[in-house]
Amino acid sequence: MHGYRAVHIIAQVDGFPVEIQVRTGAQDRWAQIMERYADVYGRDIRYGELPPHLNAVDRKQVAEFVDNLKAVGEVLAELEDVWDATHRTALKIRLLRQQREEHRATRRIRRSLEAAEAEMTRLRREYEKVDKALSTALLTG
Amino acid sequence: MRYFLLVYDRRRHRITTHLEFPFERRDDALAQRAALVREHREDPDLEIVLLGANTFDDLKKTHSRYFKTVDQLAKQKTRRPLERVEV
Repeated sequence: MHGYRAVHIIAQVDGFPVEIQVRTGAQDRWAQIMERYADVYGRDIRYGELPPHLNAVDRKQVAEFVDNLKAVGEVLAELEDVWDATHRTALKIRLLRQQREEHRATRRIRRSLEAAEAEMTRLRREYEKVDKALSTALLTG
Repeated sequence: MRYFLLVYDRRRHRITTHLEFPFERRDDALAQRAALVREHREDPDLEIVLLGANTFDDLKKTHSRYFKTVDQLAKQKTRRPLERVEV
């Protein structure tokens, strides 16, 4: 599907391949919307094919909807990048705090911790911004 | 966990068959699914699925498109995962 985002894992269970699809809440919401729309306008729209039986007005409307949903997928990707960076920074902060407790609070540790905490604040703001953009895009798409 | 055998009509946005099987009766559920697939093989609008879940309400979350319109899906709230990141 154009714009579909998820992680698919193939596991071997008792010698049989089993596909496990892992999605975030937002990724799943995106996929459910596209699937539901495809239920109405034809399964092929998931791959960019417009149904031939539609009139020009409906074709335009369906094409716009699919394009909007693709754009939402891009915002979603941006949100995931911020989310990943947030987790990496949270881990860094925890490690630095641990170092601060275990060793003398050196200037290097203090500076690194301050920088990581500032980065965390920036990422939280960025996340709020992108999350809001995603909600708006979903509602207007 | 229980098994839920559903026939979903994509165009009419309706579940036309809903059968439930306890976990131990998986083979019966699979046989019933195969029978339904044979019965409806000419109808491309029907989706015949066997799903495992604790409750029917859980399916409403994992397969929300069977139960909601595009508008309802778009307006649905996504959990905000960032609030769970602790430092």
